[in-house]
Amino acid sequence: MTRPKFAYRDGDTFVHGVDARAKLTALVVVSLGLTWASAGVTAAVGVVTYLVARSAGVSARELLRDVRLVLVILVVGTVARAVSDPAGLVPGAVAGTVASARFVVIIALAYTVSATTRPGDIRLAVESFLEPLPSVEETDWGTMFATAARFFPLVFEESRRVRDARKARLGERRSWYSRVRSTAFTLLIRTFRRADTVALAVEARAYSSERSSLRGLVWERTDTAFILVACSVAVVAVVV
Amino acid sequence: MIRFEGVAHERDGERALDGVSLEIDSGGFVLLLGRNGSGKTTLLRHMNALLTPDEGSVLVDGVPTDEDGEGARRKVGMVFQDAGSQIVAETVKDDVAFGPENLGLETDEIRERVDEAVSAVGATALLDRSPYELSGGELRRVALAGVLAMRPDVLALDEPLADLDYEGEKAVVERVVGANQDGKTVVVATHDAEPFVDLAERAVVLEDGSVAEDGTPDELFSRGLEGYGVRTPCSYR
Repeated sequence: MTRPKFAYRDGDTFVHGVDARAKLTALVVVSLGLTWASAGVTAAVGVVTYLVARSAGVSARELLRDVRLVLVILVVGTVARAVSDPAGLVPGAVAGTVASARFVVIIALAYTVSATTRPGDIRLAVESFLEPLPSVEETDWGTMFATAARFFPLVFEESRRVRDARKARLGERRSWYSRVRSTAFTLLIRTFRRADTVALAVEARAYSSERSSLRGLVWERTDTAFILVACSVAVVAVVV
Repeated sequence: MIRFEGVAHERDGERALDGVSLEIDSGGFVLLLGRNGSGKTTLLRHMNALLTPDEGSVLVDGVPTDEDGEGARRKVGMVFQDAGSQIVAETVKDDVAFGPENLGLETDEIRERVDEAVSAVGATALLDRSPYELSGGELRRVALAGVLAMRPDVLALDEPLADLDYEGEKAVVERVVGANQDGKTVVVATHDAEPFVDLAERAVVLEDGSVAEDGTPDELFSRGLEGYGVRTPCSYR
């Protein structure tokens, strides 16, 4: 099997070692900060994000390859913004580019987090966030997030299989519309089936909300420092 | 003991199981044979309570599965035909630990069971690997380890040798035999009885969701089962 997009990759880098709670908190805080960020700050955060991703073993090439579909959507959005902005084509294009750049940085951050955090640790982090809330089944929510984190790459894997099956029978010679239509339809059905199988696999092994865990999360001083840096980035993004 | 009492199950408007009555004794080794769509997988899924009967009942140690599905899943461990789809975690270690975690065991106990199960299937070297990096044979062994780690009384295996090369097949058969010798009940649904024919003490042939034949492999294969879409092992030709 080829490693699907957004899947966890084992490693012992600094980012791998950061507590899942710290990484998820940093992702949310920086993403919120980026919502208000100027072009310059967005670019700076983008550079920092790239360095963090690189240190975690994620190359720019992999990142671009895996999120290229999202990039296409953002380019289309930017063009739409440019032609529809009442201020004119150039200001519209600039505003659209900055907005798209923010999304690109947020996606790169999310990609880095998912590539360096085990779904099991995401489960524990979500459980820990929800634990103080009354009448919330934190174990079920945690498992739901972890399963989604596992399932997201499987959808990409199915998509690759559908494309390969099409290519193997000279499907690339068909029109663009025909290719998209056949892929989307098949992918939808296979995704539902796969979801069903994952649910069965979980159920078959006696899933229970009273479950324990092989791993535990351990909060270190470096995690606190990580959060502080993330908060500082978010504050700078909002203030500057 | 697992008992099927007049079990019927409908799928997509058709009867996948139709009045199946069957008793599987503790510690036995049973082959489920039959062509594609004969109801083998559906029967196995009833043992693990992934499916419950539309008519009749399935009892695991005397308890109906539709009353205590979780209890049935603790006692009957099932390995799917597509082993890759059974993997629910991002590393082998986490996946094998998934079942014991669901049993609510202490961390040390989970660790012990994970080590024991991966060692039993010869997958210790794979512990920290991602499932995406594994071959078909390795995935199947990991799926088996994930079930063994729950220490079920019954192993329900759906086409456990599909897509395996000779070495992979040998490893899985050895582990299954070992589990049976340790006292576990083994139920294997398969097209290809050859690797199991000398090990199983009983064979049940399904046809259109009903039990068509039930006896020792020797009795059934001496008569030939080609009419049910089952290839006759070499030793009986």
